[in-house]
Amino acid sequence: MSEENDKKEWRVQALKRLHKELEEELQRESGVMLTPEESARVHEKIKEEIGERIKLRFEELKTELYEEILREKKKDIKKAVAEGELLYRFGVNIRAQHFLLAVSTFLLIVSGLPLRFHDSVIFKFIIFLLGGIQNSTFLHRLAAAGLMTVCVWHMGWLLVTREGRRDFWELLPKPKDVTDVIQNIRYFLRLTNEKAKFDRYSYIEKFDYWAVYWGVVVMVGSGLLLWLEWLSLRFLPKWVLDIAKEAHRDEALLATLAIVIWHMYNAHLNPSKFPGTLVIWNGLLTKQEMLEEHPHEYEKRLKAAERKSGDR
Amino acid sequence: MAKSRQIFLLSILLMVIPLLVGAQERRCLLCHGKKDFRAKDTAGKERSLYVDETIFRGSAHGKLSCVDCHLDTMELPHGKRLKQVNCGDCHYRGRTFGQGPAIEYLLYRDSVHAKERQKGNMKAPDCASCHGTHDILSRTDIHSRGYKLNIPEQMCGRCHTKELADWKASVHGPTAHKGDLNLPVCTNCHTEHGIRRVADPGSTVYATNIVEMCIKCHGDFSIMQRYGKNTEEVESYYESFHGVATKFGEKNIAHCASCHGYHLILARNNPASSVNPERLPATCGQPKCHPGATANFAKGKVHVNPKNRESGIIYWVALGFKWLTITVLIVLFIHIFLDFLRKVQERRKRGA
Repeated sequence: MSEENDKKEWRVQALKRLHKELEEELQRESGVMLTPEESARVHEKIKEEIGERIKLRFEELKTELYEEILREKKKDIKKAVAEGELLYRFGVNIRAQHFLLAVSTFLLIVSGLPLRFHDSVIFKFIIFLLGGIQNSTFLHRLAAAGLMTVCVWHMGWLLVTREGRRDFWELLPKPKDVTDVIQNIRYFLRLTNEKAKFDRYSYIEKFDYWAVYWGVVVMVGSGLLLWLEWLSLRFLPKWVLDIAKEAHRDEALLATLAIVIWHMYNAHLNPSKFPGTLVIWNGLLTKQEMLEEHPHEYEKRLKAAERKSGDR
Repeated sequence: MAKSRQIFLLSILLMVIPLLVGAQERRCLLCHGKKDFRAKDTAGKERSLYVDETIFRGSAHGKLSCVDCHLDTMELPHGKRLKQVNCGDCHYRGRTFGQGPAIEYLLYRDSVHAKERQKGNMKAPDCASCHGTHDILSRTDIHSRGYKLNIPEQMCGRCHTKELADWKASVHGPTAHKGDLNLPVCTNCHTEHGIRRVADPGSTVYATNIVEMCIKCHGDFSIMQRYGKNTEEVESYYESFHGVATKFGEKNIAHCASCHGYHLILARNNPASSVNPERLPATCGQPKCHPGATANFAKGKVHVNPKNRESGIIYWVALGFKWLTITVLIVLFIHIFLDFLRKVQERRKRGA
């Protein structure tokens, strides 16, 4: 409140100063003294005309300032990246994929789970908010289309881009993951003080990634059978669709719980990450985080950079 | 002495009153007691005006006198035509005598029958159309029209003949139940006085309400047990998409009657039944539902309960997923718990 008052006070003072200066100039030029009434009128005019201009100028300055801050920030980031203080972890493409996947999954859960827990008041309320079951089923299919888009997109990305091929290789389960698990459990139980040194993707992240494959195969497969029931029932008996339905509702719960518990903990509620990092939005990790979470990758990157500079 | 005389006079008076009442009755029956007492009604049709005294005395209203209901009788013989008896003069909500408060009149007022009458359709029934006039018996009386087993034939079925025939042939009919009083008659589903149109959301047989009507019996294990059935159909329906959508208020979705029919509900093994495997594709393939349904619709149990071992492969899929979920969650929780503990410890160490 006081800040607001200060601003007001400052504006009033500025106007008064301007008025005084203008009045003095007028008097100097014409050599006539202004009566108090005339002075007041001049003051009003200034208030009207100059006030508007000040406002506009203010807006301009504001945007300029914002832009400058943004530029500075970008410059800082660039500088930090060049110095090796900040490291790029995720490209734009994979971040966009994650965004679409997250949004689709969220919508699928919101519009799907009420059908399983139809007795719960909360889910009844969600259906009510969505405007009835007709809307919720439409939303579910829309989100499903989003999920399938991500699948096709991701497969294409894996095949076509170099980044994708490299990441796929990094994501494949390797013997090191088994030793990492053992090492980490030993660390948790205080049998050793050495944490597992993760590569680009830890076994935790790999589990998350491959769980999506399993989930998508089950959910999209069974979901499509049920979505296109007029077509699938032409070739398949009803009991196959019954299996699809059972698998769909059971895997839905498993996937939801896995996301809510595993992903939520590891990406958000984990004490070292709470309340979440920006890596999925800007793709950046600090050197500190990199050393903490992906030391193996960091070493590799350093070596690669040295080799590059050595080649030159 | 004076007191005993008073009591004596009072008892004489009490004995005389019924005689006086009886005398009034006899005066009515001077004309109405003759079997050939007739008159033309407003439509010009000849109608018998005979009242059988023994039947009336044996009826639920047998203790009343004629003028208790025919209130506009001012003199005897009454010259002009009497008004129709208004049952609501006694059967109203705040009644304190007789059987106590009666809400039947209010229920009837909002029913489809009353609304039709208000519109001028005099074929629609009023009280007397169903209950009769001088021969009304208590519903517990086996000869009463309102006795459960008599309702379809003696009340509703007199107008709704097709529905009566359908019901009689159905699994709910008296032949299938052999005199069992547990069978559903018209009023069990449609209610008694407050009957509404099927399309009226306030109706008990409206699309979103009818399931609750059916499960009054089919969801009650103690009733179904007697017929060698269980309540699995209800549970599985509520777990199916049809059931869930109905629960969320969707009315364009299959409910019990969509597949099983309304009055002519037949057992599945009856070839004429709409849920007979042979006819199921046609039932599922109704234009509003799954047009072009093939024989594949009948391959597999319809009311399938994944928790039941008899469901076969679906039971095993459900069981598999159950244990997969439990195992995965236990493993994840252990990992999370250990990770959390260690991180908190590290933090404390660094803090100290």
